Amino acid sequence: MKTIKVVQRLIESIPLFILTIIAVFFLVRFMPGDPVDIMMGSGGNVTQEQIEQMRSQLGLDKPIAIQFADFVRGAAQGDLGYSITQSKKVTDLLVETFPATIELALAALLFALLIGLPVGIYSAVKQNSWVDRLSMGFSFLGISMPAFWLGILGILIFSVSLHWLPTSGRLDPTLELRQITGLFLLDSILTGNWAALHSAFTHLVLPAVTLGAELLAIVARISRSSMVEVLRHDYVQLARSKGLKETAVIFKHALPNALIPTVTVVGLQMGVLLGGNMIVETVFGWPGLGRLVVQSILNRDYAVIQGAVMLYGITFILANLLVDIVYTYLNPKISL
Amino acid sequence: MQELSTAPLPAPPRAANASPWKKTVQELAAHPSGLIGAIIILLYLVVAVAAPLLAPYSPTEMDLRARFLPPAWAAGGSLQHLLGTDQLGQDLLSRIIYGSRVSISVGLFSVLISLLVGSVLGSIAGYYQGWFDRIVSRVADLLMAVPYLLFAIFAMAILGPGVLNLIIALSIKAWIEFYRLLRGEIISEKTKEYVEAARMLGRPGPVIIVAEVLPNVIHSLVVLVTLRIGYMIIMEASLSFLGLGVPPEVPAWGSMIAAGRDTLINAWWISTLPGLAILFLVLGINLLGETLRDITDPRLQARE
Repeated sequence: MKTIKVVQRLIESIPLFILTIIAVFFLVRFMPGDPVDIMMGSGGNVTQEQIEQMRSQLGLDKPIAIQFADFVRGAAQGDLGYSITQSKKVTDLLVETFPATIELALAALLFALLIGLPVGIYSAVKQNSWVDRLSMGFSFLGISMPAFWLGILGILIFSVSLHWLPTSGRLDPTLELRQITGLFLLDSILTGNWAALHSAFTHLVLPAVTLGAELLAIVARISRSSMVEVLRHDYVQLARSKGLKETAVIFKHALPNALIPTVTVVGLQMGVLLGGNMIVETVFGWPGLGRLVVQSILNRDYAVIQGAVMLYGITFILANLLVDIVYTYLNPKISL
Repeated sequence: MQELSTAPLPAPPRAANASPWKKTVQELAAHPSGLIGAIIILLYLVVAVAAPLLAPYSPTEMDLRARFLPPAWAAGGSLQHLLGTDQLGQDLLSRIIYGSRVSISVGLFSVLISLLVGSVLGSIAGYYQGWFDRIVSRVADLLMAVPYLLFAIFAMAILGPGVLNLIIALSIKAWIEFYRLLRGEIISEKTKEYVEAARMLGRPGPVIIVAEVLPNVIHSLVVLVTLRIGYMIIMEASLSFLGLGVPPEVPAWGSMIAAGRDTLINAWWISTLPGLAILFLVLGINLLGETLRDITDPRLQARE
């Protein structure tokens, strides 16, 4: 039954996906600024002829409806066109940048959950203790500051002053790493390349913490408040009065129920992880999809914007679906 | 934070006549964190309004002989430039003071426009339901599916830089929350006896909404407005940081942070100090918003 529902949900999201692609295709062409002008502008002496030639090469001289038809025909064959600023196939650019974005988002998610959940739960169990007050104070700070500024503070402290961590990139340029999954941490473990593992890890720490900070604050706050709520319920009191150990009460009876709101909120925040990375990737020169989108929008690189937004859409839909699936497993009362 | 204090639900505002606002103010005085938040916001408002009087220099006055001057307390700093200068020799304090104008006006007006649009659409959709409700709700669902920042970046790339464009770009999506709040509230209130009674008496829909239903959600709206302003200020700073906010010559906190990024090693103050300005303002707004929520609407705490 569940598989059917998952497939059904996937099919339901197709119209939205198609709508997004159409919207993006036409919207990028409404952006002021011409891609060829921007590209040629810095080149110095360019004749009108050359500009026209470039434009026709890119198909930008055709009517917009024809351009769209060309785009659809290409996309159906897996061809998303060329990037005019990087003279590469869009599909190649996406394949290069996507794993970097996924690695960063996963690391940020893991960071937020591994610290946020225990802190939130501990704070709920030991309400008003100094740990509770301190962590809630910090999480309040976390939701009140822009992520990119936190990242800059991190660079200033850990890179510029202490020289512990690198300021940008994913890997020390002197190192070589055979790529299998594109996730550098995983690849370096798989190939037993310990120097690369160390380098990839130190490059990942600051961006992941920066991207995950807001989510960490949110997770800590939500898990605390839902745990406090659950601990007040009758069934928890009942479990206690049956003489169960406090740890058993907390982990077996209270925690599963307290997790439900947390999962919901994490799901809602997937957009922040995927959207926030545009900023964080820009700050740390992280060669991912987010930075690619920002650059291609600034350069009016139509084909790249389209391709990247398509990939964003797919990722976003799948991530939401995944959250829904986790949600139903945690809460059998609700079906997809 | 007294997020889950078991304070009794406040009496319905309608029954309490004119007193709830007075009560709110009194309770705010009893919650130090909310009071601190209110004071911070007030200070920022004064600074933004009185910027020309407070700023020691013009925010765009360049002095190439005084580039990269550190803040007064650091080695090499001078009292001429209390917070130092940037890579163009512009006075950082003056730019931070003027930067408050962009952040506050974008935060305030984008939320007020969203409030207006969202409330009106939400009221109509909730009260009359039918095709209007179906269409607007569908549009809202569609917009919610797009990550906010991606959406805003796109909108700014199309509209071009400027304060007004920032307000528009951020409002296009921000009305949805107000829409959903009012729509839900009106649908649940619509069938209650007092609304039925008003309808029997022949009072028109808009009057019923404004006179009967709105007072019930006004507290939730105030809380949502407050917290959203803080969020919008961060969004504006993010867009300005990416170079998609205001034109380069207008001082904005986000673009100031971006400008100092390349010189972090030698001039840490250019990026960090404008960030502190954002942090304190948003902190003040969040403190006030969360305290208002604790005081007025314990039900809202579970959401977020």
